[in-house]
Amino acid sequence: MVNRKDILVLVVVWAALTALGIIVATSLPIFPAAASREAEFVDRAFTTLAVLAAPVFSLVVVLLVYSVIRFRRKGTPGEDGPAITGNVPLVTVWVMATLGLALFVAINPGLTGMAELRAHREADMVVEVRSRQWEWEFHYPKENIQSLELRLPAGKRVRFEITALDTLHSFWVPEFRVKQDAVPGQTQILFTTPTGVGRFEAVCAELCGLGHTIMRSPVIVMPQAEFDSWIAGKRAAATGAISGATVLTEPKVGVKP
Amino acid sequence: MRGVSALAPLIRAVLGLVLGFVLGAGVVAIARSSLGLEAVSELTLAVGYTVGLIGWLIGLGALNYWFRYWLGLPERESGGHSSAQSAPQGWARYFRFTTDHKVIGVQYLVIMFVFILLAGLLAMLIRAELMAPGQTFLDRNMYNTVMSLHGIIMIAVAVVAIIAGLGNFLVPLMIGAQDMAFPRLNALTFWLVPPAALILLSSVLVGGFDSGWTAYPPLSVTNASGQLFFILAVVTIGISSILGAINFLVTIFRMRAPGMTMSRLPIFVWSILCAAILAATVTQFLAGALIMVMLDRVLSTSFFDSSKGADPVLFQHLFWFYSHPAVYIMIIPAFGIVLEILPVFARKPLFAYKVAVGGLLTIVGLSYVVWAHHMFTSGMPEVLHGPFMISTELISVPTGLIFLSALGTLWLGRLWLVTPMLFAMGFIFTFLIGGITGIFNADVPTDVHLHDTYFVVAHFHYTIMGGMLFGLFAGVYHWFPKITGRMLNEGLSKAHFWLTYVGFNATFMPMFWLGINGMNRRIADYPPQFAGVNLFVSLSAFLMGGAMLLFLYNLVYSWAKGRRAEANPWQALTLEWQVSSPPPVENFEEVPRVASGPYDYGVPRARTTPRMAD
Repeated sequence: MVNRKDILVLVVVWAALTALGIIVATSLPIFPAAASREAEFVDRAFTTLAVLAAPVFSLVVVLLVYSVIRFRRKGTPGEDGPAITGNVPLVTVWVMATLGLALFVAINPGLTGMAELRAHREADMVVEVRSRQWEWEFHYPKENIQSLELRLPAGKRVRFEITALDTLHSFWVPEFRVKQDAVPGQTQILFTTPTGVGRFEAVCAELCGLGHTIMRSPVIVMPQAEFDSWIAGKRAAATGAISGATVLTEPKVGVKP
Repeated sequence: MRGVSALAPLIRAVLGLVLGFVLGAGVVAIARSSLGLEAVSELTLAVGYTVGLIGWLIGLGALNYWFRYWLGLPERESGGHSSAQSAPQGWARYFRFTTDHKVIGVQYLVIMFVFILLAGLLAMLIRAELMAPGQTFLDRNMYNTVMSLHGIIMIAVAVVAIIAGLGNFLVPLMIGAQDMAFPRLNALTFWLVPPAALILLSSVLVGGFDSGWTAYPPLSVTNASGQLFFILAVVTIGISSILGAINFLVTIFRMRAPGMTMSRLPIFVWSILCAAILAATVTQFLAGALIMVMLDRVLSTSFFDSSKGADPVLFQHLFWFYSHPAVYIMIIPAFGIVLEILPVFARKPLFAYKVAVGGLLTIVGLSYVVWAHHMFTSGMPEVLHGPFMISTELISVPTGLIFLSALGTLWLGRLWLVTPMLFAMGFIFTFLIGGITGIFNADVPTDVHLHDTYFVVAHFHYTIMGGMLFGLFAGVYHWFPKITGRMLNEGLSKAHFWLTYVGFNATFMPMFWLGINGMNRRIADYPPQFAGVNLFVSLSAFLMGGAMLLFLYNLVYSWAKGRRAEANPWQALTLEWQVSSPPPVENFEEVPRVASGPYDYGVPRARTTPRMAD
């Protein structure tokens, strides 16, 4: 029969595994580079969930493995186990614990994280993201330029206005940690503040047909000064080129730096 | 000669299918050409298939009884529930319109395992293409079609296999009935499956379909005609699914033997009841949404055409209003199998039986109000994010009750670690990972990053494959002796379990990392930094695929030459084990009277008193 020692061993192993799980969840470098303010929120939410998952995961695994070791019978079983059909206090505690945990994760990091992501609805600049099979066209309305690569100044809050010309797409920069579907006939809004200077890629995350695989565009986050000179260069090129030329005809090779 | 005459109904059915198609398509083609339109269009094909489907059923003899009744002709069948007795015994009954629920169960199980092998083969192709970066041997069109076919076939298998396969075979036996409530309807549901499979696979002949199993418009309105075939197939399966669900509901409520009260109902029957409630009430939404897509395609309506003012996101609401409950249609019967098996091999009553039943029913209720958690990045109003996040998190409470029941049953048991028990216990671990990672997808702040990545691919394979499919494996290992009258080879079975288990975790665990690090779903190629992990994933998947062949060999070999099974090799207490293996055609010689619960292990009375008192 089971005795206090069993319970003690269980609790000790559970606590040890939980501690190990929390250490792993908080220290393992599993995320890609973080290059936006939103990335902080998302990564923190992920870590919080991983920490909360550790005791749940450990409890089930410990009970499962301990049962196998302790209660296994070789060959066919000769006798039945005790006829235990339930345990009302245990069920009550279990329901309270799972309900508490479910509500907790919905509030933190759920609602709190949503609040963080949605704060600051004012932007320093606007970029229109026009999605089509199978590339993005980035339009900077204030600067009045268009580009097949997304260039952004570090530290400036950007409001993306995302549209689709043919079918669904989804605008996602993994290093920014946020994505938004593009829907024909609608303008979807996405806010991001890029923080890390570097070269990334925008990846289409919604199946958009045969070329879905190749729908990737360069994303370059650069210091403000460099960004300004890039804008100036683009404008000069645009005025020098045939007027009325659309980005649709812009040669792709030309935008690769 | 005998072989040919045994296959005569099937040959007539194929003939009916072809004639029906020619008739339906012909009328439309003539009508269109007289209007000066192109004769062969998607409309021609759609009408051809629909009339062909009716021709198939007529040829098979599926409608004979109703036709004769309608015309006032005398019944040709012997009538009643066991009209199958007049049909030939032996293998021929599996190839005709047979109403015996055990035959139908086996028909479903066999065809579902054929689909599992086929879609598994497609998975192997996907992993072969993704083994190394760059396009290796599948072009983009082929890759998208292979990936989409793998998805929809596996989804159909997951929805249908346990309910219609094991459910059909076991539910009447477990509740002490002779057959299902509507045996002819039951046979009809099965015979809708082959034409659906045929049209789905024919989609590759007309350009395939590149929109995944989700078929989101506008892509699904503008892509190749394979999409039309996909829609026709899914709607056909949907009709079959609704009819089957109604049959289960009536059977479970009306056909129970005396003494088989609802509180003595085996948990597997409860799980089928729950899944049937869902299937009978939500399948229409998927069928409706897909028919709207079809009308947009063939009749130029504009249900989802944004240029005419429609909202393509509406489709996603309708789609997920079915497709999220559908994952519970898949997983609840697997819960049922696992909770049915654990008491037998732990030799203990099912822990907190009524609480577990309450858990299943709560999942059913909650599953109607969680669908939009698939749409946090879709552009739906942000005000919906919070409520759907909270309702989704709440599902972990009733699911937690299933875990409590499972672990409580193991505790202090006398564990008998044969293969069905290994799969049932393995299920607890894999579904635990599937459940916990589901929280990451349900919480909005993490989902905006993880949505549509390999993290999601890993998550749903842990729940559907590590859940539903491992549940199905557990069930097949458990009930194979009952179904076939033969024992499986235990050594091969254990080898299958361990290879599958190691292969499964090695395949899908690394996908979580891939998703977090930026590998999006449904791509035929990926950046070089993911090469190493993808190679490892592919090799692990091949291991799992190889294990499947071992399983197949074991099934075929044991069915033909395995050791004869006794009536009750596992010493289980539910009713199906109290009759011979395989059970007689009429199931029970006389109507059983049930005097005790299904899990009275360790209760002294239960071991000496027969379960069936008469």
